[in-house]
Amino acid sequence: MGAIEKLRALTDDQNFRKKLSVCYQCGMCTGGCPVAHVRPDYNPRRMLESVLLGHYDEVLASNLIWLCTSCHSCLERCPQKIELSELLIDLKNAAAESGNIPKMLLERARRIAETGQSTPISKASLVWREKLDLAPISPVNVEEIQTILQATEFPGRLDRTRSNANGTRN
Amino acid sequence: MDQEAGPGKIGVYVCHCGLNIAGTLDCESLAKYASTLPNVQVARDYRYMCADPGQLLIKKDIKELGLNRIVVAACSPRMHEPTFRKCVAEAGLNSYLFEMANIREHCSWCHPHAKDLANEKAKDLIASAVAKARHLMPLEEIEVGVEQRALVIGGGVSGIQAALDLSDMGFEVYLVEREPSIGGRMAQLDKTFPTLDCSICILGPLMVDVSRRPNVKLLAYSEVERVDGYVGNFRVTVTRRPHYVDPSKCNACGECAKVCPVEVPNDFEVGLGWRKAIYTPFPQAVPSAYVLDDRDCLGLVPLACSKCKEACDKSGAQAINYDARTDLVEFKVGTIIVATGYDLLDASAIKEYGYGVYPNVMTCLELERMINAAGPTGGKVIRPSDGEAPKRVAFIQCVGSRDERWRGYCSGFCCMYTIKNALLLKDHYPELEIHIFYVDMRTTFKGYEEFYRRAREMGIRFIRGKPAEVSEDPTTGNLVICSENQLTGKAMSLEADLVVLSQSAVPRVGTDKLTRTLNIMTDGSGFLLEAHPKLKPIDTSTSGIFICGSAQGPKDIPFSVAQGSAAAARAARILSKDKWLIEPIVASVSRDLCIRGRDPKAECGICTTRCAFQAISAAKGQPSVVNPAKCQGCGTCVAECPHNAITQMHFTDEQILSQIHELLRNEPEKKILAFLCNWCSYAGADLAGTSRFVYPPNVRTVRVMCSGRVDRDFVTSAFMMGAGMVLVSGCRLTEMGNDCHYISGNVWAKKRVETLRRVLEGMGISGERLRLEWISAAEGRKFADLVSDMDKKLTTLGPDRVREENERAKPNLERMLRHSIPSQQVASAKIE
Repeated sequence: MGAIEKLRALTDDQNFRKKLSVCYQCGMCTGGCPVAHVRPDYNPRRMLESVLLGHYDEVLASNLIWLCTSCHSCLERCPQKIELSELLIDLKNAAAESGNIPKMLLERARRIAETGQSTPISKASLVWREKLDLAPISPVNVEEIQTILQATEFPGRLDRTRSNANGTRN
Repeated sequence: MDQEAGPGKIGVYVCHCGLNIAGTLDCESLAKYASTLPNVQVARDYRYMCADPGQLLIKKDIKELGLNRIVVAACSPRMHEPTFRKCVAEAGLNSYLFEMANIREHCSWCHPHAKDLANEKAKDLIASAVAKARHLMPLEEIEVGVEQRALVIGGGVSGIQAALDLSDMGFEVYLVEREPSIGGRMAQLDKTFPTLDCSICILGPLMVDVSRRPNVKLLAYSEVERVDGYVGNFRVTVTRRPHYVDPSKCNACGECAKVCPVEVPNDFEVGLGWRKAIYTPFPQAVPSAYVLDDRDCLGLVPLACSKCKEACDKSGAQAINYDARTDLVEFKVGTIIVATGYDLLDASAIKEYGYGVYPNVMTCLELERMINAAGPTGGKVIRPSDGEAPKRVAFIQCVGSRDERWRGYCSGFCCMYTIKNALLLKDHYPELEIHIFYVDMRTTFKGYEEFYRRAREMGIRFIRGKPAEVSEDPTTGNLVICSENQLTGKAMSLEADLVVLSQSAVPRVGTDKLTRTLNIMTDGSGFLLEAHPKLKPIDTSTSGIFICGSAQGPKDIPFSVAQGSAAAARAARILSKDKWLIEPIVASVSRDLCIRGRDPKAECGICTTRCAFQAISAAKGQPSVVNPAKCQGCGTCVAECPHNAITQMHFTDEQILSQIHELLRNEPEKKILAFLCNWCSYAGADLAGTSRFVYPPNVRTVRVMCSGRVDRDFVTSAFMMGAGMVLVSGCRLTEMGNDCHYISGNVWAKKRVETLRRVLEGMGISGERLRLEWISAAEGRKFADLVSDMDKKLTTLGPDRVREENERAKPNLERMLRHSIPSQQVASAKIE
């Protein structure tokens, strides 16, 4: 299933739409969004409107949904109690499953699955730490993290995402 | 009248209603069928029963054939019951000896393609009406005396208008105001929109006028403590706080306030200014005398401080008396008007805008006082942080309004007063830069949109976007508003010297307590609830009590004034009569059956707790007594009484059981028996008919005034008689609120039906065969869909299964019914 079909399947659900359709476009989400203040093309209010209108190409355009930092400011402030940041997470999941995900994030997911860390600790940083007399970093319990990932079916989803992503231009 | 006794001689009239009924039903055969029913003397069909010749037919038969019960099978009783009641009364018959069978809205209009089945349904409906008619009793309307005086609670512009109108009509009025002066919110405002009239200049003369009327008794600084009684006869107790200053001696010279050493924030100036412990709220206050607030005074004894008294005595007025005490005033009135107005939401609760933290964030009412020439700054607008004149002012709309976190509703007047305040600022300070952040601009009355245009012409900028937050630059005290400008689609930050919040209007503090005192209702937002949102916007569910102004919901001045006049007119309907008539469909307790009467030690009293109108009283060792003047006729107590000791006139157990019996006479296992409340669900079923929604013809309807009337015995009897399904439906009861026309009848119906369903399930009757649904008068589609759904479920169960379940439950059902007193006994017991 392509990203657009995936999104449509998600947002066509009546119960799902019901929670969003009370939006009266006041813009409090965008006004308080830390990303929107630095990226004028990112506008969560418009994102929601696009979802309601079924304009999924706009939702997926330029990988904008991946800019949401999940700070939940919009969710806390929304006067209609719409959980907009949760919608963004749903959108990200739906997009990712169909392979619509920035390569950089995919790479991070792989690293978490393999090393338990999203960002590797470079040898240089370890040397610096020693020079600065900082305590050594305690090793990550990779096994424990992998058990959790297994239980949540992360590797399977990651594989699907990866194989779908190879078929797209990302 | 002799002819009215006994089961009677019944006349049945089947209306064709042109082709509305006759197009689907065979009216001739229906009349023929009706003539075979017991006690039916004559049955006729006619093209238009409601037209004069149709009515003449009935009148002629009453006279010539000595008929004493009339049944008309035609449209909904909600349509023409009053017409035919009048018709039979004109022929000399008691108007309550009339019954209607609804074969149009509930039959011909919704089953056009199932003519045979529809005809069978119409027969059942006619038989049901005839059965009820057999048990009808003549009733007389109940007469109560009327105290031709009114109480108006709240001396804002709406209450003042109501008092003035009633006074003009010649009625005595008590006007009770909690504050030391009347005037309300309007007295605090600077100018009014859209004409920019000075608020106090147009209100002041009304305040003086109402205080000078010989037939208006103004009780300021007073609160309504207790109200007993009923329409026409309310006993009111008012607490008068001591003024400590005799208004008849005080000449408002102000010498007392000059010497008073106590200073407290001035409420009238919303805390922006100061007042003394002895003060007059504002220069135009009415009554114009000073008042001493004993909560602020140092001691009220000469030992503590007696500076004011000394100054007053020296001036020769000798008006101050420290020994004054709280006074109780009691009086009787016929009607009560509630005009308690509104408060504004505490803006400091809404953290993101920083009110109460940043000094330069202020409320609309604070700005209102500041622009006012008589206000704390003499009309100069300054920044609270440094006293400087602001160069950039920003207004934020919908602060708490239209916000599910605070108040879901639109406060209505904020758009307009913000435009007004912005225009005033622009007028006083033309260089000022003004931005208004809004979600939607709502300017929907005469001259309002033009006012909005004027603001745009004056250069006031409107930014569509609800700001996410306001933050302060601590070095300058300037504010930064973070918002989206939706019309550019960009997030933005705007710096301003002063931010003004338009916070939502909320019910006045104390509204809750007052509603309990008066036994009236509030809506989900805490404002006073009207009896009907469209047709009775001024009435409450308690007869004789009316509401006006912002107490019912936020309103601007013209609307509040109009409602004040409307409330006066509604009250005058009652006050202008010596006697007031009450529809006699009230409840009545049988002394012989009430357990309290039979056993002096019994502590029953269930009925008193079920009545939402406090119409039932139970003195120790005495049977319960219904006050017919307070009873609104829902019948909830009747259904709830465990001893079957209460009867509802015109909706007796006997009458309704006889209807159930007729409706389930043939093939009961295939039928759905529906008990519908008069105000919502029956009207919803009517609407399904008028809308021509088609649904299965196997539903049979029984009209009750309230779902609270649906006795457990009705349902058990229905299953006993073999019913397929039973539906109990009332006014909407959801998390959003309760639409019950009798406050809480549907709440009791819900409890009763849900308990009964569990009991029936225990006996082997499938739970889905007893449905409880809320259908409003607007939900014709829902009614049609519901019947279709129930029919589908009934078909799935199948008649064999239904018969089997009923058969298995029968011994238990019989036992349940035996435990309640046989209905004949109820009917024959003496009605008090």
